[in-house]
Amino acid sequence: MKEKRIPSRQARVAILGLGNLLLGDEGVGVHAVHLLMSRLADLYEIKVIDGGTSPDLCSLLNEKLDKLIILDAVNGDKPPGTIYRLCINDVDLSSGHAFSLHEIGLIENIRQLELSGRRPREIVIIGMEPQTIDWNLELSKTTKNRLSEMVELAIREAKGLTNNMSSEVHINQELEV
Amino acid sequence: MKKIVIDPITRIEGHLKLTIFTENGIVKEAQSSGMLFRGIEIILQGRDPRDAQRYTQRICGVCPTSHSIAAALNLDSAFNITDKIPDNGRIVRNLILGAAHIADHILHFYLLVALDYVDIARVAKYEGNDATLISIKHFIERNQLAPFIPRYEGDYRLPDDLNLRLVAHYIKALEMRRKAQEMLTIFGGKMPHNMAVIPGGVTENVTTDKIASFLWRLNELRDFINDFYLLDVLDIGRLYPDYFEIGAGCGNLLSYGNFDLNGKSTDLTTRERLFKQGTISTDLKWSPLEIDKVIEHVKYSWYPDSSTGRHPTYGQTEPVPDKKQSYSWIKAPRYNDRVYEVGPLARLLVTYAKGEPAVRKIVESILSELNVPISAMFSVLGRHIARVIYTKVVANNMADWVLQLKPGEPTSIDYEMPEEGRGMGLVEAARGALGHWIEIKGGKIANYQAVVPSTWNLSPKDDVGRPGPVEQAIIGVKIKDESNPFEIIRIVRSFDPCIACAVHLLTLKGRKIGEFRVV
Repeated sequence: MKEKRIPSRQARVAILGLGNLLLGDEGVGVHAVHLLMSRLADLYEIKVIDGGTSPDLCSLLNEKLDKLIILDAVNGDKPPGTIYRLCINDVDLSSGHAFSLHEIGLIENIRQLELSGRRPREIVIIGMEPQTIDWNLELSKTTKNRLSEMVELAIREAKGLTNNMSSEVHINQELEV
Repeated sequence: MKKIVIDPITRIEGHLKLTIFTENGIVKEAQSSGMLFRGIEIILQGRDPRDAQRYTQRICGVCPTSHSIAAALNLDSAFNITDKIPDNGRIVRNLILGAAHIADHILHFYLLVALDYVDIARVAKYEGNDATLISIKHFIERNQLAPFIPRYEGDYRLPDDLNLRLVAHYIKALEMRRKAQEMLTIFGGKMPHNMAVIPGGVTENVTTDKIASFLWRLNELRDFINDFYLLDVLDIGRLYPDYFEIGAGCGNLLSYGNFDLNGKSTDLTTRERLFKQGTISTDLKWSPLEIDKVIEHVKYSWYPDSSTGRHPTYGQTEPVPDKKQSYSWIKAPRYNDRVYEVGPLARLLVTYAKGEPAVRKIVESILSELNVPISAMFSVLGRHIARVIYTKVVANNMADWVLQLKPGEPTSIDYEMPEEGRGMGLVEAARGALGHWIEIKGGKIANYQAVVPSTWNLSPKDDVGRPGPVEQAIIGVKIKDESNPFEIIRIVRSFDPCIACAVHLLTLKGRKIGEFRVV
């Protein structure tokens, strides 16, 4: 079934998946982006990018965007499979050790984007709490089960259907019971 | 003795910890520890060999491209097709690798190194009209200094106008790096993790359109390298001449060579390359590369003592995290039973010593401009100068290579994969000598080993107690202010350490953002 195009104004939106495919659930953002690509084939207004282990935003985004949606693994001490929607404004950007598995780090890269005058108006992180991070090409069962939900949320976000400006946490109900 | 721990070293790739012991401000002992554990060898066992370049690229986001080339050369040799790669395939591989190295060296100097010499805080006093500098000034006013901090304080010598100019070039460098990555994707398909490099050549066809769009980006980058990058490094060289005198390291340099100029020889250690294979010491006498002389020591690494002294082909990666005396996940590779440094300095001086005229000429002209002897290259500044000269020479040659491409002619060959075989792939990653080794049994990968540049440079002590190159570069250095050991940071950063693939993940430490960590 084909998705409908974005109504009215064409917002310039990019969805960027980050993570390492070799490290199990650490790669959830990249897995999500690949699933997204198959669902969004005719939505050319939305750029979908597999950023892998390199959040080199200044190179990956070649125009000024209205919205950047980043898909990544997020450690928020909630049950594995929990999906987070984080507005960048709710994220503390001041702590800045230039150190992360993704080279000089997502936060520094957002800053660099801002310094070069290309920071998107809105940046949202849609993340999932990982179950296992270890040498493995597959996602764990828990994260795999919720991947589709993460992708749906990203599509809604891209279409501008999630208008609220605050962060949300979608606890993994299956595990709570 | 006083103990100083720097953990993690910032503005490098990956997690590196340094422990230093000082007496009266002089470093007596240094221990470099890679704190993550590498496991790529384990994940590759039992897989289809033809996919090795896909997996090994994903070790890290910094030099995936060099891993793809090393893996492809490794597979070419295991499949006995090393001498059969069409010229188009060989040249496109060179262009892809060259684009990656240009992007990487610009990133290293402007985004990682320059901030050790440029005082970003002074932009707060800026009164001019430059939009870029004003935006940085606003950053500082809002107290949002990352990615410029944390830093160690002191010893910023640039006059105000030069200081401001270099800050503005930082922003320009972001755009230039993007140009280089775009250039890479013209033939590589995507970045990071290019799809084009495969055993047998490359998948991407050559068209005049691609040649043209590659060339105009390359020419813009060449202008940037000549008019900005080179001049900025020279300016820092003039203001920090004392950094020609520290951080010499072990004095032995090793290069696997880079950029195949002729694909007809099967021997990677002798085939004709732009940057040459071989070794030198401080006497600058060139010796050929004898790859069997590479072995890995593990006495001070968290691996069983029984696995020490092996050639990487017979290497094992079995962690023993509670081993006494050990302080690193990095093994200690040694060549000809000596300690060797790898990187741009090594490939430049090995090529210089072998007598390559174009390289000799540019090295000599730059040294005379700075009024320092060639022996001064064994230093912190020498490494930065070697890196920019290398970048310039590569970019100049790429402009010739791209015009040697023949549109419409094949870029790869068909081949039959043998059921059994061994291979070796040698190339220079941006940070130095990169070797991949493979053993194929029953059509599957039986063993895959990678020895990456930073394992050479950041290696711990070896079985007989000789410190690694970075450790040697730090020992004996006088630290002015022990709470601000910027001398040490400048030395370490001159090696462009990258730990992300030297080792990998032991305990995951993600970034804390609010109560969340993006990992």
